[in-house]
Amino acid sequence: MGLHYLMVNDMRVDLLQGTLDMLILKALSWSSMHGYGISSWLEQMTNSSLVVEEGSLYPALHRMAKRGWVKAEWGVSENNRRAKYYTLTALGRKQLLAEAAAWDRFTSVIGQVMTAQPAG
Amino acid sequence: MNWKPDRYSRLRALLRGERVAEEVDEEFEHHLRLRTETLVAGGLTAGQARAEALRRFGDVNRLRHETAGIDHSIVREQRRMELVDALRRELKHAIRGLVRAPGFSAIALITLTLGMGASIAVYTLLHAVVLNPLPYADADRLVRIESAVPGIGPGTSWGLSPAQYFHYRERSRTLSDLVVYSSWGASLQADREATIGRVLTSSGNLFAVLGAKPVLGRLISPSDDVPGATRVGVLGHEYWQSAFGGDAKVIGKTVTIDARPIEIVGVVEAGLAIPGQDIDVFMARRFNPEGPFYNEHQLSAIGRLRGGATPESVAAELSRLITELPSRYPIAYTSQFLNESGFSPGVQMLQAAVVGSSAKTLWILFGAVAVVLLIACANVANLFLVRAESRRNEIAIRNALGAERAHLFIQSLAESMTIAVAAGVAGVWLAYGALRVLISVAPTTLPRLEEVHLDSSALFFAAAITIAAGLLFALFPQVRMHFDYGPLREGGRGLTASRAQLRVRSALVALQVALAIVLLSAAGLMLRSFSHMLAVETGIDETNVLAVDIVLPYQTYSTHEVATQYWQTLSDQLEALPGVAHVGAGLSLPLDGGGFGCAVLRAKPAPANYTGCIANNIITPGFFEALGVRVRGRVPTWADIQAGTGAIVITEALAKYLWPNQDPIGKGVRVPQNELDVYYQVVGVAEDIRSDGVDRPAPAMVFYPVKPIEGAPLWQARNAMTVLVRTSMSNPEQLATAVRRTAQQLERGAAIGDVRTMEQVVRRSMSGTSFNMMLLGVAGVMALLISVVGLYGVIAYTVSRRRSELGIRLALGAARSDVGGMVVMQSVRLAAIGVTVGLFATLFTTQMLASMLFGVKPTDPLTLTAVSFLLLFVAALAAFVPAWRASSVSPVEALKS
Repeated sequence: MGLHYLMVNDMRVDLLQGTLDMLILKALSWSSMHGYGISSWLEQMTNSSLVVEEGSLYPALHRMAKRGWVKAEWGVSENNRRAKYYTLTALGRKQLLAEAAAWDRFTSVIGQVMTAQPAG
Repeated sequence: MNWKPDRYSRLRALLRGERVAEEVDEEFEHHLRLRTETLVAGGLTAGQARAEALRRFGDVNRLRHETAGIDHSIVREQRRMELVDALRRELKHAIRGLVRAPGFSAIALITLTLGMGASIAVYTLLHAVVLNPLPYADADRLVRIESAVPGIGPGTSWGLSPAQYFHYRERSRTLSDLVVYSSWGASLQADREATIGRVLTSSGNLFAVLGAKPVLGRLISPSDDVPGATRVGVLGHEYWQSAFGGDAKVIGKTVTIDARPIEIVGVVEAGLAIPGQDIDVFMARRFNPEGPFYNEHQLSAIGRLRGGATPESVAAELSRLITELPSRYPIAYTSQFLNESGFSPGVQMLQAAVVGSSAKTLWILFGAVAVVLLIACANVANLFLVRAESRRNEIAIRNALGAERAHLFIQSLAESMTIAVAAGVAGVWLAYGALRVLISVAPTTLPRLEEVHLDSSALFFAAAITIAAGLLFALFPQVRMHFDYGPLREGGRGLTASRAQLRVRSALVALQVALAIVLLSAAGLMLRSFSHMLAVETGIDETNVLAVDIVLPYQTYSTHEVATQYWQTLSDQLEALPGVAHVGAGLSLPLDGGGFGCAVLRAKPAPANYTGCIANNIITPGFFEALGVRVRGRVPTWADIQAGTGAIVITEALAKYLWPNQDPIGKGVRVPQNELDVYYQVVGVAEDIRSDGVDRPAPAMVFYPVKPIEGAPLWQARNAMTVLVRTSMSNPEQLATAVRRTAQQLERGAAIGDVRTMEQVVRRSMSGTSFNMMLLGVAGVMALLISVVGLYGVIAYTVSRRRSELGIRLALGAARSDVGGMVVMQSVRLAAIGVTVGLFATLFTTQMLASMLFGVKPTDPLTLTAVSFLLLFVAALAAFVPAWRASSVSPVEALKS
């Protein structure tokens, strides 16, 4: 797909499938946010090095709402605007833990390979 | 939390309905606006900021489409779950309501199940036999072709000759193909002893025309149908299962047919039935296009219509082709023969030919059970009306409290559908059992019985009547009842409304009684027909007679001497067995379903103008004694046969026909095969035998001896006969093994077939009428029972409503018996209305039965009177309990309540 990627030293590293979902869940574990809020939280956290097609957050959020990982609710923001807010559910929290654990394992295995020294 | 939930979002959603696309747009727009504002704050112009925001967002249209799609699926799933929950709720509620009224539920369920079960069973029969197309490829393009010979006998038809086969096939433009076949009972031997089975020989295109496929190996093809081709056989599916155990390696094995080994090259698929016959082995006839061609018409024919051809256009063309026969086949066909016999083509759609008169019978039977279903539905509708009536107050209160009318209707619909579906399922189960019984007692004349299964069309029918019934029971009380506050104001009695309801219920009951009269009359007429048939003098004494088919290998028994010797020795040996009184044999037996041939006759002295062909049978001495037929004069003996005296017996009917008012003894009869002046001599006249059917007149018939006399050649040596053994024991089947043993000891290759008693034969010949009688009887009894229950319901209801009135009467001095009598009379009066209407209806409808009746008119007054009185009597009985209750009302109690 290549719509979500990380800029590292002017090199483009594509995000893996499913990573975006994990990042969204992590964002929501901080607090309930609307879609734009999640987008700017990610921007803030990664110092703009993570490039995400902003609109694709929404299918991901609605899909997660269908699965019961997040709860969607219309609310009124600080500037008195109507916005849809997403809250992490207990099921979502569990999903976040599982995905984080899987990510850890993934990075450690890849890391093992990349830091391996030739014998002798 | 830096945001507040929008309290009115739910309400707004309820009011606006689900507007998925709008919400997605609003969500996206919020994001884009914030991004734009941030960018503007960073220094871009409004336009630049918006463009950049859109760029960062991505393909808005695609994303909107994707997101909306997800939301739609969420909404759909929610709605689905809500529906399932609602259904489950209603169902639980309905079931609880029904369980709380066990009497109502039980009667409704049983009544409806009976009606549904009967209709589903008979519908399945009707569909499989009449409505379903025949199991061949493009079955609606197939026709049966015969040769009508009205000049020989009115309504007589023959098959086709090989000459016709070649001529039609070559010259016809209305038929794209023509298949001819004939079958006979042959001795078959697979591994064990020889049995008698059915073998069919046909032209090579049989399976191609029918569209059949092999299950193993290959099928008969045109290359097998040439003179000199090796004889090969294809097994029928059932025979393959029974004789070879479904052996997959049967190809290449042999089956011995009439003592000749035939190689098996294939097995045909299951379910392929040649109209009216169970074939065990198929072979090619190996027709010779060079001839020789004779004037014999034994072949059955099926043609495939080409393009837009119709049976009429085929008949027209074949009429023309027939005129060409004498010039092409002069030996077989002369112009004189064509004129005298009125030789013409008979063409009809194959399905109509196969189903024949059974269609009408089955439609009538289906009509009968449909009436039973109607009566059952009327009863149950009445029950639901009563139930709704009894809950009037409850419903009125709920109405007043604002319950939606639709919701109340859905609740009553849930109840009625529950009963309907439960009855539908039980009905299917009942129909399954009923069908097994029906198939086992079905008359042999009912075609396509092997295709009768409870299949998807039967289930569709069951579903249709279930849904219709459920809707009817829910709607019927709605139509009758008024949603008013009347009952509350009247203090809960609601007498006026219930009087109207009573009128409806009474009308319904009267209708049920009328329908029951129609069915019972039909059943009664069939019963009388059947009893008349039982009383008919068949001319034979069928008690204690065993019939056994025997087929001898025809290579060994190819001359008259050898064959006759076998039958004589067999007769002598069988007569020597203990318990055996007489032994005889015949080519066909009366009432056995086999034909009696039809041969042109010459008589001496020749009678004044007579035409037509006469039924004949070929017999051995002992035939008449074994069957118990009385013969005036004497019967031919084995001495006659050996001496070649030409002594024969004819029936009274033939004697009257040939030589009215004269003594036929001593006169002569022959089949004109040559011009010699040799005749068989009549020595005895047999009492008329109802050979063609108990309800058909006895045919004029001649009985030729098994060995023809010199100069009057008749036919080939008889290697296949049915042996009759009259015993003094009451259980003739016990002799079966002894007969079999004796026959096979005399000739090892003898194949023994169908062993049956003459009683079974006679019973089977009447099975058409007994089947109809049984079905109509069951329908009539069901109608009677259901109507009686309905009648009881109305009367009991009336009594309960009139308690105070009855109490007053008793208090004023009426005798208890008077009060009871009043109730009974009310029931009888109501029934009488139904009976009158029913009798009128019967006079019209039983005309349809006319062809099924025997010895009784459709408007037979005795039957109608008996049925009417039966119903009135039962109506009086039905009122017994309510009348007793009415007469035992305590006046004080009644006045108090």
